[in-house]
Amino acid sequence: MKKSLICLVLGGIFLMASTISCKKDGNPAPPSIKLLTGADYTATGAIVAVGGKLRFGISASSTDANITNFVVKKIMPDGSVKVVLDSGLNSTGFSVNETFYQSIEDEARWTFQVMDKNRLFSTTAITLYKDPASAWGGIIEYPSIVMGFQNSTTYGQFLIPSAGKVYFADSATINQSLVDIITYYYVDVTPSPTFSSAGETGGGIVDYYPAIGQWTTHNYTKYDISVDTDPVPVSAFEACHNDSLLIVRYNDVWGKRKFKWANPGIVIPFLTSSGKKGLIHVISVENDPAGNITFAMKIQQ
Amino acid sequence: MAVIRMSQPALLLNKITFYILRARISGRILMWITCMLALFPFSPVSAGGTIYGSVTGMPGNSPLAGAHIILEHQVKVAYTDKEGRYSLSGIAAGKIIIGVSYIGYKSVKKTVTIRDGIQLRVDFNLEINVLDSPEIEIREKKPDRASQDEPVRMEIISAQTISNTPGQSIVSVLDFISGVNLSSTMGIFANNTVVTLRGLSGNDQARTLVLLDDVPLNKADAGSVNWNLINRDNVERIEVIKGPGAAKYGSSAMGGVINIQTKRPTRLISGVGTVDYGTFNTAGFRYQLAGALNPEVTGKGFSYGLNGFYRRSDGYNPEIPQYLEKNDTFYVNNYLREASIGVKAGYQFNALNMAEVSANFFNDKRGRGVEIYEVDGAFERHDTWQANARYKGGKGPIRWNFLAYNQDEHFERLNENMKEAEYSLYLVKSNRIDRGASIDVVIPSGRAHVLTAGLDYQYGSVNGQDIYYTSTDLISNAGKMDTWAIFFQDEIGLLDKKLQFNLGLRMNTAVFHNGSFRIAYPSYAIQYLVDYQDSLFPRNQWFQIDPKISVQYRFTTQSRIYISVAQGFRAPNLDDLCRTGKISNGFKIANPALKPEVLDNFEAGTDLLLFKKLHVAASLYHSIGRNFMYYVSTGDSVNMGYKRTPVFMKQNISRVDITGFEFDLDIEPVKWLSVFANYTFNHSVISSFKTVDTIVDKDLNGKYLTDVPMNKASAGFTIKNKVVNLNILWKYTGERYINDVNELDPYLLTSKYPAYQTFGARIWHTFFNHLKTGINVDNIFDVRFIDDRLQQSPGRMITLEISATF
Repeated sequence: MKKSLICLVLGGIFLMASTISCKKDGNPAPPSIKLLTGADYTATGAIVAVGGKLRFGISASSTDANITNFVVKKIMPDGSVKVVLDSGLNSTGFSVNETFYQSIEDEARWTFQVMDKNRLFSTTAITLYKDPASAWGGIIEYPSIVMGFQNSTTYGQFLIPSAGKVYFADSATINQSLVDIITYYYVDVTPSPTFSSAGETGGGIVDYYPAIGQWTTHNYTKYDISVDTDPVPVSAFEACHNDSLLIVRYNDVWGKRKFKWANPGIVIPFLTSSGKKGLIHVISVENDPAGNITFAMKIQQ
Repeated sequence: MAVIRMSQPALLLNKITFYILRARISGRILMWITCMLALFPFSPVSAGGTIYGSVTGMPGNSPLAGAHIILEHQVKVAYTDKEGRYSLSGIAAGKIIIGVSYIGYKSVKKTVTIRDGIQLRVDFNLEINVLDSPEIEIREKKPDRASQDEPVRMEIISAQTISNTPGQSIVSVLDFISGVNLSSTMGIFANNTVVTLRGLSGNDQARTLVLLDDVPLNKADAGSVNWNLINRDNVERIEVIKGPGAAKYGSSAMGGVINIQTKRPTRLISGVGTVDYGTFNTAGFRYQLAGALNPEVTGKGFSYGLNGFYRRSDGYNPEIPQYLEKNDTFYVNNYLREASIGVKAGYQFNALNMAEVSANFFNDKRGRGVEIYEVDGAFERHDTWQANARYKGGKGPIRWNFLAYNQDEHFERLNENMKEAEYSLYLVKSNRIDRGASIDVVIPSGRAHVLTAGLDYQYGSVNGQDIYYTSTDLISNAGKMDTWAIFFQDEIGLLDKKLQFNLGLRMNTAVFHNGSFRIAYPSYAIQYLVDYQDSLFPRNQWFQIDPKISVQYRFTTQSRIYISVAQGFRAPNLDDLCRTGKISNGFKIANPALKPEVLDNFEAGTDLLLFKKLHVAASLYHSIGRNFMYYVSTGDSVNMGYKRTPVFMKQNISRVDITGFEFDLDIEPVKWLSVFANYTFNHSVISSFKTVDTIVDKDLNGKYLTDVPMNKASAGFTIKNKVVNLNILWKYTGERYINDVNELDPYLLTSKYPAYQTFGARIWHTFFNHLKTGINVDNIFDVRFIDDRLQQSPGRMITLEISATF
């Protein structure tokens, strides 16, 4: 009897130790988000020509947990969704201006969503329409541009797309507000010819071109890296003489701050900080830090 | 010389074993078994009397393994087995004095009268030796005597050896044992330490079983072990059993078994408390307190135990500047904070029956060396609850053990990263449950046999989530595995136990079920994962039989030869069965149809005592691993949005051959000096590999296993005297291949990690028998070695330690 009682007591302790747990209750508030209004911003119901600038002011805040995700997407009348921005952050709130460009869809519901660290969401939205009278815009075509890599003394590394001019670092500093494309040979485990811009200040570009660290203007050009899986045919590039292909093929959400492995044959969509979309067709590459890259380029006027 | 003849039980056993094994195992194993059975088919008939019995320790009456039994004025010596049993036969009739001694206990002598043909039972219950002075700290690095109890290569590390080793973690002690391969670049800051045995890859803990008080610590999820939760001060000893032990222990006992035994109450109150402070502002304390409420009453009463520790450190920055990529991530020190508390309570009903429950809680938080916005940066955290219940019973010569255990681990890893100006934050969260129960019965049969039979049940589950904060993604995986096993063992001791057979057989069956892989709120970045969802993976059941046969002959108490043939296996991990995700070179999908890996081991070894003081041990082994798991392509590819990458799946496709050799020697030339040295050689290669897609898959035929040094050695000496004690240790770890294909690592620009050697030292002195102060210098010459994640070791660590025992 005594033996059984002792076993029972010890067994009870074992069970208690096995099942101890704590649970935290709470009912946190979701973050809030709103679109700023005023003459500077695109208002709901606006009708915008293809390629027209869409300017949104977004203000978001959270009291219980930091905001960690901000997503902008377009929902078409047929239910299809196109994400144009999906960004990570870690802040109690933010107030930003974002600029996008009207694409070819007739109607889109633009939704702006924030999520906090509790994974609670808030969303706001506006609906925009394409101007039915829109026409494709003109483009500037450069059949051949040669840019050098960081150790090249023959070819410059800084391009002003609107003028088609290439500069070395000294001259580029003077024209820094116009420089949108910079090339270097990425020296890493897998070295590669790379397109970048002065906006890549946190990355390796300052190692290759230290002067950029002193620039006051850092234009940020985004390169669409999704062409690795969905390539733009060279024939389409060559046949393009207005901005239709430039607008359609640039995928906002895959726009990154540099494009590595820019090898011959590839066509790279890009978007400059001034909102100009373009395409680069790489023709040839001399793979060396002192080498160069030859490409054709088309960019919106 | 004793007269020998063929015994009927031995013949019958031979036949049974033959038919059981023939059905399952390969021809090569059969050949070995047949040879051994042919060599040793005899049992003795000896003259004289026999003394047998057991040795236990007061007040808990726990069996004392390895106690030294000696008959005065006769050349008869024995050691107790794990159950504390011993037997001496062929004793000349007359009045004799039998004595027993055991470290930490008072030696006892009894006078008994022996008659020819009579079996006399003599039990001992030893009292604790209160003055556990430095003078009786013996055999710092020498293999424990109990290491020759069974025909296997087993080494035992005592509490004193652990205490006197300069390393800061329990695993650092294991690194000085031959055959052990330690992968723990970051030392005490590591949360993925792997200890493997016998030439198996140093990156997979699932192939070496780790037990804490007989409870498996390997988790069903990935086979990993959280070594950090073990309190050094609470460890009584560590048994390193080399070679497959699946016939007794089941899954993971492929390379061997590391069995850690914690301290048990021995007196009304006893304990040890330690505080330390050292490099990187590392500070902590450990304590162990235990007692038996009724110590003066032999064999009855409550006992209790309490132990715990706390440690914190500022850590160091493990990143190597030359390998840092240019991105925006902020590298900081990998701090640590950890704490543990454990309680134990037991009741001794009588000399043979006791019940005990224990519970332990461990919590840690280890920085991962990255901090951007989060206050604590990226980190890993464990909350681990352990609860065990055991009952040890016996009646007459029969013993039984019951064990039930539960380990509930809540794991979190917060990843914070900034790359290419994009910030990411997500939490990997896993709830891992491992529980089980086992019962075994030990029945001595006749004078020669000790039969063991048992049942074992194990349950493992994982419920994991990748919770993204910087995107909407929520990825979850889950799976469960139930394993049942039945096992038998026969220990046959012949010729006064000079000749010993161990036969074992374990039959396992397991079911993987309730497996799932799900995605919720997929963002644009992981759309490609959606197609791989599965709300219920197919069940997977497998069956595994593991035999073992080993035999040894002891020339003297410390000299023997042995041979062993054994099979080990390792069950597939839940992580491989039900988790899909990115890997370094592509994308892997779950394979719920995985089967166990199997390893056959053939081994021979010897121990010799030369010149009365030099102990030499050598083992030679060859292991053949079958169905080893490697990633191979499925022939498919997946569009990850920005690139197309091949799809890989782990499959049982390769054969591995390991040939190894271990050599140990130790000597105590004078009372105040002991010296040890050992060397390990391992040639571990993939001897067969099926390539599915010749373009995508790398051919691993003939490639060496990763993270296995071909050459490893260690040596050391201990000097003890009344002024100061000194322990100096050296170890050499040879080159190890970095990746499966044995190709150049693009960052390290070499295919192998460089060899390295380190020295460690500990100096200590004991005041008034109770207060010990010591200085530990680990890695004296500040050697920095690195791992495949390009992280470097902390280098030299100096620690000042003060401990009090009572």
